Amino acid sequence: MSKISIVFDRVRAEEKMLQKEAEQLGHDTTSIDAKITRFSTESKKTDYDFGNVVLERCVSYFRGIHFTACLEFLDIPVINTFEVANNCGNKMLTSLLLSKHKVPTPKTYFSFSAEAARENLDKVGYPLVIKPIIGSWGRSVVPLKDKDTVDALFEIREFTDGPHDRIFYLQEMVKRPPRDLRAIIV
Amino acid sequence: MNCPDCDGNINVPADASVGEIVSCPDCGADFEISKKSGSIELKKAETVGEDWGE
Repeated sequence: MSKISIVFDRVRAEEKMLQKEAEQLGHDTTSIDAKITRFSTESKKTDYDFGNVVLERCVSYFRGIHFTACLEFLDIPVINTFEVANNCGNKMLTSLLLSKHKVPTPKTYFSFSAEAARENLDKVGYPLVIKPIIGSWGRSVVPLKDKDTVDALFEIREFTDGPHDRIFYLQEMVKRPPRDLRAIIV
Repeated sequence: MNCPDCDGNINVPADASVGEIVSCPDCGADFEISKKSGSIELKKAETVGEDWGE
């Protein structure tokens, strides 16, 4: 029997189901609130009781990935690992990895200023889809069909000016039937 | 329990666990169930961030 820790920042039905299933399989489980857990460069594995493995389940991507880094600093096995979460949580890193390993993927263009992104659009042509490199649920994914849309969206990015607003991820628009298509790559 | 914002009555299920979100039926505010010094309390729930996943 192993001890499994479930790290959360908000308990949802999924975390309860994971805990219930693990217990039915005979594992000892505990839930740990990431928001009230503290680490330091002086922390040692023996300072905590995370058990044999941690399931990192934070809703916040940034909170989760930094928490994972702290756990791995303590040599505690985490699912997912920092490397996996970092690569899969960042669309640009994912696209680069897929392309490098010859996995067919929509053509994607990266630039690091609004000016260079406009040059990409001028060269490739409309439409392209702009996506935030970090985020899910399709939030802030916008098809760029003309220059007016680009001007408006890039102006908004200048105002919001988050660190990721300076990375411009433009992707070929995929022609698809009117239904949701999902691909899972293992 | 009473809503910290509007004093409305919030029903916290007996099987609810720390970290779950409950909403006030009167004002709609969301609160997270937390435990402090052994007792259960309601604290303001975090708002959805741009890095929140599915």
